[in-house]
Amino acid sequence: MTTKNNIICLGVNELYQDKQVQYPPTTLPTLCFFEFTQTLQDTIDNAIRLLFEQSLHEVTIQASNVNWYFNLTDRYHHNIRSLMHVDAMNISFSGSLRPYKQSHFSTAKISINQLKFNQIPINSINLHQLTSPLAKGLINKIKHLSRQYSEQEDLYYAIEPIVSHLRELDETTAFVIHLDSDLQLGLLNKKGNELYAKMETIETEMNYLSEQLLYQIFGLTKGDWLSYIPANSETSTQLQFEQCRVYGTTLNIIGPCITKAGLLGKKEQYIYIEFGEEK
Amino acid sequence: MNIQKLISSVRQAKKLRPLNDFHRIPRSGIDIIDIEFNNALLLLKELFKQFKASGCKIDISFYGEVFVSPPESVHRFELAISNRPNINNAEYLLKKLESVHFVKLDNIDADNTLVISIKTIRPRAQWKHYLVSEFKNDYDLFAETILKELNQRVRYYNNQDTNEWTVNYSTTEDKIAAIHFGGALLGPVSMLFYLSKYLRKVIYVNDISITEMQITVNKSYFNEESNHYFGKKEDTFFKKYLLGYNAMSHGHDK
Repeated sequence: MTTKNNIICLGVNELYQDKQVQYPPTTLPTLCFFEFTQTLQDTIDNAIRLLFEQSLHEVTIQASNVNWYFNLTDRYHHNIRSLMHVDAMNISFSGSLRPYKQSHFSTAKISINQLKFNQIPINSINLHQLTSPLAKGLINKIKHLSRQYSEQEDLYYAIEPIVSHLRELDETTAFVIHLDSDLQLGLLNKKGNELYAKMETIETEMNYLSEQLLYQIFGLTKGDWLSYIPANSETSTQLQFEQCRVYGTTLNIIGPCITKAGLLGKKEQYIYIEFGEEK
Repeated sequence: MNIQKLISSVRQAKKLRPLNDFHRIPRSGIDIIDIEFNNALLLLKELFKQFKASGCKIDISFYGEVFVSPPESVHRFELAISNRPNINNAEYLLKKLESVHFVKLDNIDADNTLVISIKTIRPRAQWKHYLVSEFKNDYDLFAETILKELNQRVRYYNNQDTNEWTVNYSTTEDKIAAIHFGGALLGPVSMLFYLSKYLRKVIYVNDISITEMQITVNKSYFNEESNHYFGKKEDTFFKKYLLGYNAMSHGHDK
């Protein structure tokens, strides 16, 4: 009798890592099998933790217990170097046959949530958790950054009218008043670019912190399904968490809606979480 | 027939098995992941003892294939050991994967189970697979079951096996596989790398001859030939991986 297990079967495609090498067709597998065990789930969870802690995009881990089936020769070949790629939402496997050194075939990316659950559970957000010391600390940091961001933003937009006025003046008074306006314009443009770059850095930092907040306080990662009932409304908002943005003192969680049938819709939904005004 | 000698030939042929990854019609034999290889050899040794006791003749080929001929029989069979997941519906899965990203399979044993397979050496003969775990180390029973199956098959054959058969034979496919593997192993510094690329584009290869320092590819029946010359690196490679290459080389020296 075989015990119930969770075998996952995936299709495989060729990867063009090295354009010069043309891989003979016998070296390309058609199917990939792996068992979704508790150990594998723990490895994935650890990788996701690492992604968040080190703000990485993808973690690649040497994988064992992956079987590759070659349809062309009707065989399972052994001694294939297999790698598992984990990003915030998906995993995929790639591999290489001896004597190749680079991975030359890969499976499609599959959603970790779909792997874990038959029906993806919907997490509810309890805003009371935002009162914990850790949450407060993160919120204060985000608020601080948000304040910095609006200061930079004010400066940036203050420069803009000056630039356009200066340009107008330069055109109307050409050759009459020598303002050395090119130099001034150049300086202002440079300043504007600097401010813009700074704003972008702050924004990235804010998004990173808000992702950390959602992960550490609510245990949410990208790809999770959420449900939220605002205090002043009776209808709930349900969405798949794809990205989060901070505007002023509001945290917006953005993602495609979940339909009544329990499927992903096309419409984009938003969840607004107010941090409240500063004391 | 010294069993220890047979086992050491199997062990020696292990280094040639990677050729199979580039072979369109892979050679049968012992394909086991490294950590379990020695266990498989122990199993093979026990089976060989039983076969020997039953009066069978055992041969190991250059590429590590195992051939067994039962006593007083004109038929032979090949024996393979592999550890593979017990999944038989690959075609169905491929069809299903055209529309979805992945398929979940329950109640299937996808662990690498040790499997012994046998097949008579005849065109279109089918492999018969035995799970080693089912025999619980009863090698006597195992060998008996295998021989019984073979005798049953043989009873239905009304003609002889394909004419002259030898333990060590070399095919065009072997040579093509060696060229592809050599190309991958030696890399762009070798002419095999480029010949392998070229051969991928050729639709039909009638014959390939690899002799000292020269590969001749015959693409069709109309003597459309191309010659490719190689150096020392490739010579060393063919000596190690290609059956009969050494003999050709020596023949030339004389």
